[in-house]
Amino acid sequence: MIIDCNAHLGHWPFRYLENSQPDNFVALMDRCGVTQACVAPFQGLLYGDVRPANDWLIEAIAPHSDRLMPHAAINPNSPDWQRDLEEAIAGGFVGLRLYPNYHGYELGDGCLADLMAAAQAHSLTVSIHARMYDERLHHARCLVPPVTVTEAGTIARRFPEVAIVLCNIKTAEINAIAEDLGSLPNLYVEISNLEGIGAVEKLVAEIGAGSIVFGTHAPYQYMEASLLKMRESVLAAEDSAAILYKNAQAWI
Amino acid sequence: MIVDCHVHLYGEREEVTANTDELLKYADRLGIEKLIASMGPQLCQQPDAERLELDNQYVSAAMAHAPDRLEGLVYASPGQVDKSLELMERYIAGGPMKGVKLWVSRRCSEAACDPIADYAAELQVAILQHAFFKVGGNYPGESTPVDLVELAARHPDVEFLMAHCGGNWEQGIRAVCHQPNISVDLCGGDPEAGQTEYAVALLGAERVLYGSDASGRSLASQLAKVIGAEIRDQDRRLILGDNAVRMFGL
Repeated sequence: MIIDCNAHLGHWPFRYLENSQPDNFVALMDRCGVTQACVAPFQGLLYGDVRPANDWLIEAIAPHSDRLMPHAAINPNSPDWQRDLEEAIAGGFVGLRLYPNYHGYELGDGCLADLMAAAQAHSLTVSIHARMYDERLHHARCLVPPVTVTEAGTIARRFPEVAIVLCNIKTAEINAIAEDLGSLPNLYVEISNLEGIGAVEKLVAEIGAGSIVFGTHAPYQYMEASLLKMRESVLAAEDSAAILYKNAQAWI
Repeated sequence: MIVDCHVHLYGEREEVTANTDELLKYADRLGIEKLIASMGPQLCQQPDAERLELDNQYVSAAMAHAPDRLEGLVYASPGQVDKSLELMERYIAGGPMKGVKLWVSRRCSEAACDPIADYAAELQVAILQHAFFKVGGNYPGESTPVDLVELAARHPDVEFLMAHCGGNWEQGIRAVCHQPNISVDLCGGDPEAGQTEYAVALLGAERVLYGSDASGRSLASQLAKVIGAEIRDQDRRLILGDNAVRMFGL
């Protein structure tokens, strides 16, 4: 069993993506042996009102509800975001996706604390994207610096019942918060932006498999990349299972 | 056969055999049979003659340690032309290296690159040239794909391999697609879906090579650009190894 904790569907604003619609994406999952995926709408990045993005997603994935788990894009820096959250909960979303760099706030800001409190009250997973793609390749008029993730541990300590997944995080950023990752049971990283040879096994040695979840960042990235990273690393069977699905199952 | 056309052996200089074994251990897990290495254990943007000497000795030592698995390119620099030509004579004419690597010391459109390209033509070897379209600006001596087109047009008898598909691969591939003596390697960027399909569509599979930019990058994430691409199997074979075998005479 494999659970992809970092996927999107819909319209990526800067390039056509072949497998960004639900039917194609599920076919890709089948090809790769991925059982389930947590999906959020790409449109949630830039829409001023995220509700149409979330509405689109929940309707689009309805035929695949056994495979695709909807995550709502929420912008806690936007007025009346609580309504967006309420509608997402009512609509059946099981997790939240945050893009602090696209939505203009930092992890230490009060708006995020308010959202985290709501997520804890409703038992929602919160995934925070450190970036969406390589900053060197950004659109010249849409430069978005990465999120500073050093406050992630503070948030995880304050809201211990919320599973927090740091997505699209790079090795150096993980190293900077390794102590928190190794000690906070509700703080996770996913592997789609891990680089370097044997990166997964080295990360397991550093923070333990209990803090790592499988993610692909498909369809923006080739889904096969994270699968091959698992092959590049040699892991104990229980560590591999923890990363591929067990850790995610605990909070899904 | 899978050939990784673009790797570096990072680590401590005195641990070259261990660094080589480390890289090969991971390559084995992914079925990568040959790797083409260049440059030293730490990157140096403006190498002097002594540094070029040491970095090429380092790759030479790695090749001697794993002669059936590791191939090498001479790390040359248009900032050190005489030393570069000396190293090409020693390691290519004298063997066993298979080509030239140019990085970011000077933009490759500069005339200083011409003696290196002329000698590569005489030796009938290819040049791997770093090139990047990077938002926010390049390093002072960092080439763009447009620089490489200028160099390649001046040296039609030399085969050039543009690293990283030029960074921003949509722009990089478009920039070089009409220059027939430029191929591209896929390495060094995140495994963005569509990159390989795009390269094949605009260049033809014969001008696209798998590379990883390990050990800074994952062998796996870069291999996925080929394994995961929706292309014909015969094109996949060309990209994974056949093109590198032909280009570098492996």
